[in-house]
Amino acid sequence: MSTVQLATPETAHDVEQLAAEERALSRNGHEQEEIHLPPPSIAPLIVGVGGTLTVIGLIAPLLLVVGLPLTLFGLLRMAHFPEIELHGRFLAHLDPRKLGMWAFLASEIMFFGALIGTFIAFKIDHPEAFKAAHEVLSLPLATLGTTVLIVSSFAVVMGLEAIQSDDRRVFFNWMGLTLLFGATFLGTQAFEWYELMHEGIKAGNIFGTAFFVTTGFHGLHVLIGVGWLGLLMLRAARGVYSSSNNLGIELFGLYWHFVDVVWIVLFTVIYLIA
Amino acid sequence: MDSDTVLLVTLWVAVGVFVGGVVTPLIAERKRVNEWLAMLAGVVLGGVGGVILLAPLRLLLRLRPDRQVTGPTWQRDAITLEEALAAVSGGGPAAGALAALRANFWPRARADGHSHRLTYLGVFVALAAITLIEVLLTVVDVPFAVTGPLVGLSTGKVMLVVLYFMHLRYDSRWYAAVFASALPFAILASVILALS
Repeated sequence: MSTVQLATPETAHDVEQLAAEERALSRNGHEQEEIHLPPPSIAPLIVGVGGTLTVIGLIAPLLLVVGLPLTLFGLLRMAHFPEIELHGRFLAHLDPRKLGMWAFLASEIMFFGALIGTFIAFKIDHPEAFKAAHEVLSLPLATLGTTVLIVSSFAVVMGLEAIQSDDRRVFFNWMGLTLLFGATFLGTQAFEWYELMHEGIKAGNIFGTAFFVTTGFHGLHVLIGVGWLGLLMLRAARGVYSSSNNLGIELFGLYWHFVDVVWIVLFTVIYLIA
Repeated sequence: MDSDTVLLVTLWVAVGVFVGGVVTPLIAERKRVNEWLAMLAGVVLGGVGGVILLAPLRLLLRLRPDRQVTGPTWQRDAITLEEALAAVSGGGPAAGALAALRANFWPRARADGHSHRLTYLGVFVALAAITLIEVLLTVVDVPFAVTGPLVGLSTGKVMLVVLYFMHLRYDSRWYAAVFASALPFAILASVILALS
């Protein structure tokens, strides 16, 4: 109701109110400018419904048949969204999307901190079980995984650097490398899990519980990252990103580097320290 | 010297110090020398050796012709990859392959001239070197407890990634504050879990 009144200021009171708002805006260093809103879309709703079905599908697998394709379809629709600039009024020199990403990563610190803390606690309580399991773990394979993740992190910053100078060919090369190495990491982890299962380390063991939950959640993050990067590259192929619009790439980079950081810690805690 | 050069030189010397500190005790193991003394000697030797080995690089940089510098020096790479590679390979068939590599993988300098390309390359090399040292520490029988050094090295790696790859060093302190605000809780949770 108030919007209608503001749109057609008829009384002197409304005019005053508008002027006051304008002053407040310019005090925060923002000129009055046009706001470009994307057209309304049903895609987030589709992702919401599909995601809910997928999560419930973890218990009732039949729902996955509907949930997964629905989520994927919704995400692909969202890949067509334009990027919008958001202007925060609080701490105007900060970007709201970036701040949100850092807040999300802070929550991830707590999440992985709890997981790693549990791993260390189990290790202190059952040193002999962990010592026996440490003999079975393959350090070369884990080192390969670490190297692959570090290279992919480097690839993301070089890709970001390239798109910031409108160097699209270099950008696609590095991002393609990231996608390849992310998938390679998942491959090494799948192979490792397969081997460990055959060595008798199962989710029922004390080591197995700690190991599979920790590396599993990290692997899930890599998997989500690979999917996210796939969407980014689809969007980039449509010409969304350029030197003047690359925050989407940077936000993905923050997430990907964080996943790398978590692996650096996990690699030390699980594989290196006996 | 601009910041990129300083960073690379520091990393170079740091790698020398690390390698010296790790390898010398291994060599001295059978010679009945105090291992801590050996490590100290290795650290000094690595640091000094790193500086001495820099001399050829300095000569190389002196030999290249002066470039037209239009922007402030801090906005430019100390030496572009192209120039470094050309100085090393001196043309020939390798130059073609290098040119192709460069065209496909070396981003152009940004329009504002500000570029972190060499910094990123240096950080990547440092990460790889630290990982190598970590694995060596685990595989080779070293005469000291490795847990402390491993935790230290990993912390260094995490700091490198967060400060440079995630740009926290260049970005607003607010992002760092938001990110770091979670650390006390994570540490508290870990300690409580570990003690229970």
